[in-house]
Amino acid sequence: MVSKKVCMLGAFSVGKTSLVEQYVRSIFSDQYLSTVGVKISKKLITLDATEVNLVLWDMEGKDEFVDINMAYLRGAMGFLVVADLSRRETLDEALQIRNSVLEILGEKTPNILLLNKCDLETLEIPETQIASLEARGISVIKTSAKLNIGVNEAFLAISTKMLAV
Amino acid sequence: MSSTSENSVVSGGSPPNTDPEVDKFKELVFRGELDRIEELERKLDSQLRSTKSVSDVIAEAVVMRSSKDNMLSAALSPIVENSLQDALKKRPQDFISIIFPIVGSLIRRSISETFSSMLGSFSKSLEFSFSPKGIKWRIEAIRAGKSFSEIVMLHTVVYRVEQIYLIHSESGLVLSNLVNKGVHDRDADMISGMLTAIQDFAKDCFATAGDESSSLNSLDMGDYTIYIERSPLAYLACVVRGQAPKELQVKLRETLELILAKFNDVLQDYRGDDSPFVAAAPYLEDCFAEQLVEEKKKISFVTKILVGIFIILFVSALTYKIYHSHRMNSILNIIGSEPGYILIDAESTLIPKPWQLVALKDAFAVPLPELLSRGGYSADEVRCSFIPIDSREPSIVMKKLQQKLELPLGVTIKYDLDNDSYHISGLADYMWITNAKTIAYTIPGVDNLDISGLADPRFDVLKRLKQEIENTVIRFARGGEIPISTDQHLLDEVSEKLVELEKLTNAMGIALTLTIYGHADLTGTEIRNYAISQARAQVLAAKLYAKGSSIPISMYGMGSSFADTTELEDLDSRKIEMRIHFANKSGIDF
Ligand SMILES: Nc1nc2c(ncn2[C@@H]2O[C@H](COP(=O)(O)OP(=O)(O)OP(=O)(O)O)[C@@H](O)[C@H]2O)c(=O)[nH]1
Ligand SMILES: [Mg+2]
Repeated sequence: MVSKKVCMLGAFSVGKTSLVEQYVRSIFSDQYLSTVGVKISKKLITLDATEVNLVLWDMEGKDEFVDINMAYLRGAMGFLVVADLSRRETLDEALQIRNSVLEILGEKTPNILLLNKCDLETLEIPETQIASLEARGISVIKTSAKLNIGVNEAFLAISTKMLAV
Repeated sequence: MSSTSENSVVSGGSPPNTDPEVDKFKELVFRGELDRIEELERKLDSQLRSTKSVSDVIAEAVVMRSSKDNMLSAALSPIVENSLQDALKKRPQDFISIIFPIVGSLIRRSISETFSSMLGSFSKSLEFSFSPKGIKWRIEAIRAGKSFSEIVMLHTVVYRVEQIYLIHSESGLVLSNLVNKGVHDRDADMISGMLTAIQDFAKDCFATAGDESSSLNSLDMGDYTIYIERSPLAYLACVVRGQAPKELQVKLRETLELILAKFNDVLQDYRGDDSPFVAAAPYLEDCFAEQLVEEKKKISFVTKILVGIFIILFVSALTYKIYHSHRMNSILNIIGSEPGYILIDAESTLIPKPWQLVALKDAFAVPLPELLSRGGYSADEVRCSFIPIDSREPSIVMKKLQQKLELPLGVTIKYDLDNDSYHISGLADYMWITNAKTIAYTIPGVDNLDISGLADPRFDVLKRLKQEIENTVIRFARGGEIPISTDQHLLDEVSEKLVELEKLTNAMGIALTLTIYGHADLTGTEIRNYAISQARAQVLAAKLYAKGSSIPISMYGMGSSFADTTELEDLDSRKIEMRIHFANKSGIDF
């Protein structure tokens, strides 16, 4: 069995916790309970006949008062950085976080940018911007924790990337 | 003295001078100093010599002195202590590596002792099983939904290593995880993740970077303490119930170091694959230890007596209860199998007292008290309410038949199981027989009745008399109403028999009527013949009346209508004939 530590990063209230809950326990709640510190969940999956023990570190969201606790990043083998499609500033935040984390963990650390809440109607991030991100070599997956769109794909993709390292 | 001059500071330091003038001058100017130098030289020389000689004997001297008294060690100990402390301060690692093997073996011994005391834990839970404490804990176990042994553990264990993790320091991922027996497995990954997160957080909050001493060494969580032994690559976390002794920390340290030494390479480039760490399990297992509470006091004599009394009471109550319910069962059996009873409810009570029974009961069944006393039980062992029914059980039906029919002596009733029929047989009164049939059919359960075996002995007499009377023909002389002389006596006989018959039928309640037919032969006119035949019948009737009989008689003068037509004058045609008619009370003929 292989264990992999994956961090969930991003601005506050983008849906990090919701994505993990949807993935691990197949539940979603409209209620917003802000994460304090870090919440650890795990999920056992089988990828190409390899048993992978995903240990998910769902960290508290970054806002003007709370900065990301870099100590929690230690030993992470991959990370998901999440932005909220309905709030433009969360994408800037996400990209900023992504850069600083890559600096700490190493440029080659597997990571994926998740654009969450794709089920909403008022989306503030234009398709052209998303395309340009992909052009820069950033893996992007649109997700909805609410409707369970792209959630499994996202965690599967990061797992595959981590196993390839 | 060559050695002296060579060693002398002055002479060794200056070039050799042979000028006597200078020597003189030297003596004048340095006289005092020269003497002192010479003195010094001598002193030095003798010190060197004595050092040499002391060094030759010092070992022997120390031995000799130590055997004599303690002075030497007393003099030396402060010096040795100081120098040891100095050395420890400067190079602790060297000392630890020297002392470690000794300490390690000491710990091992203490742990093996702890293990051997653990072997006693099974017998311990047995020991507690029947004590008041044991019963209390059993109740606690049921309440808490835990196993009894777990509760015993909780109360008797001072500390116990329940779970131990080897965790990758950087990622917080579990490398190896062991659970002590009888302990619920918690999710290792989540716990280790949280532990790592907590430590990171604590380090972040309270410590200046790189200060290892300020990181967490233990965490208190209710009944549990988590001890942590860290290193940059991996750390051990040990979940302990209760207060662990200091040795445990040392043991953890030692184990961690062993693991680090063995797995250094794998740990250096750990990428999540924990298969190499299967081999670490035996090391972790070494850390499992526990210590039990000392059994403090002996159970006091009074408690023993009380417990004894309690047990005796309990056992006798139990015995009584068993005896009682056994009794009850046989009582229920008696009632249940008794004809005329159908038990429909029996309510037992926890405390032995009269049982509450409900039964269907036929009025003809044996009364309950009698039934119980027949089985050797007293009537007040049960309290029974009855619902009246008519039982169809043969023995009960039989009783009813007997009572309702008022069976006369010599009459018996038998039940034929195959045909479900009742057979009444024997000699009885004719009236009784006719009544019996009607009455019997009113009794529930009597569906088939056979009374062919019943007979009234008088009935035969009745039949015989009727036969005899009817067979009698009384012939008359020509033209008159006097029987011929040979038949004279018949008139008397018949009337006697009729009187007898009348008495009998009266007694039997049978209605009797007599018909007398008078006949005449062909001689004479028809009118005359009628009159004569009428008169002849009258003869018998008169005779009967004369005897006081009150049999209703019908008389018919038949004239010569039945006379023999071949002879004009015929004795056999001049006669009377009798017919008897019986009827029972309800008017039915037979
Ligand atoms: N419509 C929609 N709402 C979502 C989605 N995901 C999360 N939410 C909602 O967004 C809010 C925040 O979700 P969380 O998962 O708690 O966000 P978070 O990133 O964990 O927040 P912090 O822990 O405070 O950083 C909640 O009210 C969720 O119900 C989604 O895919 N679609
Ligand atoms: Mg959250």
